[in-house]
Amino acid sequence: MVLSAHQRFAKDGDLNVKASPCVGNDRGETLIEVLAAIIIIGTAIAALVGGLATTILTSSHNRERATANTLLRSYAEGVKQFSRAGYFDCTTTYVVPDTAYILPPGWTRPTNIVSPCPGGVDAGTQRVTITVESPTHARQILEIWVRRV
Amino acid sequence: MNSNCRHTAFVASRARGDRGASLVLALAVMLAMSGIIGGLVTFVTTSDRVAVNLTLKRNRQYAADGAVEQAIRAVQTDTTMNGLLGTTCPFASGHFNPAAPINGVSIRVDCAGAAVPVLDGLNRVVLERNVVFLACVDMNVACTDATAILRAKVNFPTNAAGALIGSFVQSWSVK
Repeated sequence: MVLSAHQRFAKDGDLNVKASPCVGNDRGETLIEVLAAIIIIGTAIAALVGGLATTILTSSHNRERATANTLLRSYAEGVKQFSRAGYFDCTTTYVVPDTAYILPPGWTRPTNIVSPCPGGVDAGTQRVTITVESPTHARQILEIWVRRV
Repeated sequence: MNSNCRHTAFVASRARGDRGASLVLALAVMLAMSGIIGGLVTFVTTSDRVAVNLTLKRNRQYAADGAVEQAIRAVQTDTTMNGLLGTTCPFASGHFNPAAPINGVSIRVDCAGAAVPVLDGLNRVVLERNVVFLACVDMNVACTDATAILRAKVNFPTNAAGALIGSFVQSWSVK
């Protein structure tokens, strides 16, 4: 009787499953599964890290926009209040005291420009353009109108 | 079946039972992470939408504010005094539109005279000249309390000769 190499190993007392003629050849299947698992988990972790980074950046950006919005509103009310107390015909800007609004740390003071009055005659209303600049140099602009009381 | 084969079959059956476990685990982890990523995406989208809406709302409110300021000025400079006498709004078209959009928003201001008879210091009946202004986004339809972004009631006092001497804001509500 001629024995195959596997049968010969089994006959000699080798109980290695992979080498046994009693089961199919599973050699390498676990390695493939583990590799597939590593690839799937790796992809998921990469997506998670990317998502987290995007979330942090967007959140920071949106917080900055919300702060700019609050600062713009606060400053605009300051300009309106100040112009009610002292409306100046054909002025180029209103000097708003620092106490009229809250400036968040790291932010530069907002600026305002009053639209020029044609012919040097003030119509009794003025367009004031307010600009705020964030620490990352993103700008927001708001147009308001003030009126001579 | 000899003893070697029985042992081998037992080991093989155990190996078959565990087969694919790591893949299932990986898929479960991926599912959990997908949930987390979905949550993050929702958070970012909502936060972005909130920021955009805040900006839009701010622009609309200050546009309405600016338009009403201009409308008040237009009433002050009106010579017909119709609005002040509580009849019609003094603008030729019945409403006021700023010359250009403010903050990119086109605003319409409708106004109505709301003069009321009151007693003055000498116990005489005089007209208190009030005007109610309603500002809304211009859709070619008159502003109502429901559509108004800003509602203001302004008093225009006059001197003994009947000339306007200023304006007093009685109420100013923004939504």
